[in-house]
Amino acid sequence: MDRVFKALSDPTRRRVLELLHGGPMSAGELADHFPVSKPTMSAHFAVLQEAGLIEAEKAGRTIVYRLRMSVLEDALLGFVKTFDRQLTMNGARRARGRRPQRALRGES
Amino acid sequence: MSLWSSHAAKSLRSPLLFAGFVLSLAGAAKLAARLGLMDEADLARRVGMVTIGLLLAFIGNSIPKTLAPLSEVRCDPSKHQAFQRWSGWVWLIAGLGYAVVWLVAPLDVAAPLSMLVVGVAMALVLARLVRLKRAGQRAA
Repeated sequence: MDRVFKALSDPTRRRVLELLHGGPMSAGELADHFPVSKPTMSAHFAVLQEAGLIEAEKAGRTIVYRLRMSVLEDALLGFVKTFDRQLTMNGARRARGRRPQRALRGES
Repeated sequence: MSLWSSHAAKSLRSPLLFAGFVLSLAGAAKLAARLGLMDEADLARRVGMVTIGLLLAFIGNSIPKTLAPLSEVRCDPSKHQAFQRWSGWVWLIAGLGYAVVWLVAPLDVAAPLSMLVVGVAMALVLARLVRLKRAGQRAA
């Protein structure tokens, strides 16, 4: 289970899982969605595979990845995403709240 | 090479954990009967039915994990995956519903209600399967 938590802790890996919810995708197609190098993406794929959340299958010269998540793992991903969104919103709200104070401090 | 590979250990862990859970559930039920918390005949039936419900939920949970090779998938792989995920959710919820019904409802209500839960789940999955098959035939 700790492998699953480790895999879900990274936003890039969560995005990979989100993309795979739409259906199987090749490694290249997936990598096109991220501004990171191919070795970095391969490392992310390896972590997801190790956690048993995705499966790789060779189709000719390409590797096709597809989702291999149980219902509870799927629910856990949804929970993490909601929690992450909430944290981002709270952070943005806090940042918006601080800005006027800084402006006031600058005026005095 | 060891026969007891990590993959084999992983695939055995969940069923063994589930079996342990079922045994402890039966043990807890027996203890509750001894302590006079529940009538023994009713209890045996309830525990059995709750276990069946949990087994349904356990199977539902693992449905999306059982993947066929892509070359053997006859319809659009993304639709096939969506169907598997959806049926997994349906069976998990139905199994939990079945277990809850047998846990809390009076015995004369629990039997028809739990059958209704399973019937609805089966109908939902079959309806989606038929739709998937029709879409596959149209595409072919």
